[in-house]
Order: sequence, then C-alpha cells, then structure tokens
Amino acid sequence: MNYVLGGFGIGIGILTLLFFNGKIFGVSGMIRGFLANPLHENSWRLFVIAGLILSPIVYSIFFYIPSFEIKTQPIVLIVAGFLVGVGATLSNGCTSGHSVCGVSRLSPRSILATLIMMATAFITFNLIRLISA
Amino acid sequence: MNHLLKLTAFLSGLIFGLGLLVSGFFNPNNVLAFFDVFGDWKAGLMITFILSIAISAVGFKTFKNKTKSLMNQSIHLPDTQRVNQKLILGSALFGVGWGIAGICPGPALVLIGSLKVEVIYFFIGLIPGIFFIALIQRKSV
Repeated sequence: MNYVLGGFGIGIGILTLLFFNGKIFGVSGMIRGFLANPLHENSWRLFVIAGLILSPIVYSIFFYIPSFEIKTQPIVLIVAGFLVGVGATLSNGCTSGHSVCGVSRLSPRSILATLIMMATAFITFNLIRLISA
Repeated sequence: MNHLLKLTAFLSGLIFGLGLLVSGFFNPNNVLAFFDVFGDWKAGLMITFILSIAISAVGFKTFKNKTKSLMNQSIHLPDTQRVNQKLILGSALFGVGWGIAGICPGPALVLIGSLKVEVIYFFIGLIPGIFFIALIQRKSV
C-alpha cells in the first residue's frame, strides 16, 4: 500500500510542476541550475528543492518515520555522490528526469538512460556484495 | 515570478518528497535491497516506479500539444532525440554511484530534512561532480 501511495505522490508532484509551472521535474538539473545561479529570477528551483528538503518535517507531523542508519562509509559516500553528479550532468538527467518523466513521455534517450542506470546499479551493488562476502 | 508559482513549485517538491518518504524510496537501505536481486530482494519499489511513470504519462499526454501551463508559463519539453556517448557514459557512471550508496539526487535532498548527517558526505561528492563536467565542457568548447 505504501508503495502505491508513494507512486501517486511522486507522480502528482511531477504533474504539479508541469501543469502550473510548465517545468520538468528533474532534480539533478534543478540542483545544478540553482547552484549555478542562486539569485536568478527562475527561483522556482529553490522552491521545489525547499519542498523536498522540508517534506520529512511535514511527513513526521502525521506519520512516524522509522529510524535507520546510513551504513556506507563517508569516503565511499563522497565517491558515490561524485559519480552520481558527473553521471547525471553528462546524461542530462537522473532518476526523476530520465526514469520517471522521460520514460513516461516515451523518450528514447530516457528509456536507454534508465536501462543503463538500472543495469549498472544492479551490477555494481551485486559486485560489491560478491567482493565483500 | 509571482507568488502563486512559488507556492506550486514548493508544493510539487513537497508532494514528490512525501511520495519518496511513504514508499521508503528516500531510505538508501531500501534502495540497496531493491538492487539485491540474488539476496533478500525487496521488489516493492518497482510498484512505486511504475505507478509514478503511469501517472506522469497521463499528465504529459494531456499536455502534449500545449505551449502554456495553467498559469500561463511557457512549457519547454526536451526534444533532443540524439543518443550519444555522453548519454551512455553518464548513465553508466550514475548507475555505479547509485549502486554503491543507494542514493540519488531527490532522496538526497529528503535525507537532509530527515537530519541524516551522513548525507553531507554524499553532497561533498555530488556538487563538485555536477560542476566537474561543466568545467571540462567549458574548456572543450
């Protein structure tokens, strides 16, 4: 049930930005655009980012957020973040822009990007699992 | 930009974030469990993924030939069709990073608000990563 609600939330969030602001919901592009020009009149990016950051606070008013640990080592997190940043910028999109928005528009670029992202993520996770076992 | 547009932008981020929270997508342990096909595989996020694509598809279909949004903003949909090396290499690098930590940019922002301090390390890598490419591209132009 939570998986279904989550799908609705993500989908409706994307549609809100499209219907009213006329923008594609691509998080990596928004972070890039915002940091490159924080005071630009196109501050819509800042507001989407603020909504994302504040969402756990709103959520926790109504629901309980189960506690969990991020087990990945700091240096590994830095490397992972760097690869995600380089990759999303090179391919001009990430999970939101390519895998949800792009795939839903049947963009061949985004479908290919999603298949590659998923495949390499599955392979990387399982290789690390194999090596560290 | 008028205030109503700021509000809708904020709400879109908020609703999207609530979706990441309720599905558990924001929690890297769940994402890694989604990659763990040979172990204790939790495939549920596939439902979230497919449903979000389906809902988004209905919206893009409705808006297909529109040039203005409901609040009179011009709509710019990417129309690049070219599959190039940048797309392939970028997606692969992204996948490696995502497979290592189970974090992508949207959930990373939600993790800030969840006060998961470790996510700072992810951003220490992410932000230079984003601008690393811009720097190289500027030089090559």
